Amino acid sequence: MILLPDEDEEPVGAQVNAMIGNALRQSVADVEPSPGFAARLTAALDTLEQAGHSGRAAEDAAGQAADKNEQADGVTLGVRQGSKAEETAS
Amino acid sequence: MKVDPDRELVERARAGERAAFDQLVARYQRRLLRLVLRLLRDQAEAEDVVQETFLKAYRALPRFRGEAAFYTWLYRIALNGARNAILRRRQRGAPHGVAPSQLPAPPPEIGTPESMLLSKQVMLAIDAALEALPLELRTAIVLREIEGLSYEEIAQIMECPLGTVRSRIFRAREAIARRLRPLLDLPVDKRW
Repeated sequence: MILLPDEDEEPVGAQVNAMIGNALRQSVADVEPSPGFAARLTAALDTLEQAGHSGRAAEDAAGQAADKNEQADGVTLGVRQGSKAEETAS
Repeated sequence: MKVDPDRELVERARAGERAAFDQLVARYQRRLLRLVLRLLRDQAEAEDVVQETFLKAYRALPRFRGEAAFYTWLYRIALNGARNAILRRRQRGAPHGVAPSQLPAPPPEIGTPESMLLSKQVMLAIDAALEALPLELRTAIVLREIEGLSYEEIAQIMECPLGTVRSRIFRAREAIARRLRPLLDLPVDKRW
């Protein structure tokens, strides 16, 4: 129950402010998430995490593929350069 | 600036440790729900906003620079979510408030029937007064009275000067008190 202000006690304003605060706190004192909330939130975070991992994995894969291409290009370039060197030598 | 109580967990979560983020969720989910529910007065809608808050925070965590405390950042995301939910409601033409039954009942009361009745009337009057407040005033007094945050923390969360926070809380209390005066049989013209 809310403690109501007593006019004999001063200051009334402070009592009213305290009463407002108590009433507001009481109004949400029993608030709890609904039973399925935690599970829904965990599932949503799992999805987000997996999407993040897949996103990162896709980026990694793309990066690796790019590296391979660069390496392959390098090898090709090396082979070409080697061939040119051979041609020049011959 | 106050030391961020969540710093270690935030650092671990930023490093990709999901369990650390789950601990932050466990620490703040009820507090955020309490805050958002007090603003929206609809449990399902408030839970949606809280869920979206954590998802946004999780996504944005790599960009969180720690200039503000983690919880002030989180509260800010939640308040933006609540504000957007209210705007969506207005666009749909839905009523701003929801039946008081959406809020949990206060704890059982002990006292004389008269005092219990008056107490209930006071609760309803405060509820109605809060609902009638502009969102900025409502948010400020809820952060102060329900979350127990300091004026400085509220200023960070609401991204406004300290003086504005003081003024908003003062005006909110005045508006609520005005509704209570007739009930409490106190002089209407007396300034508290």
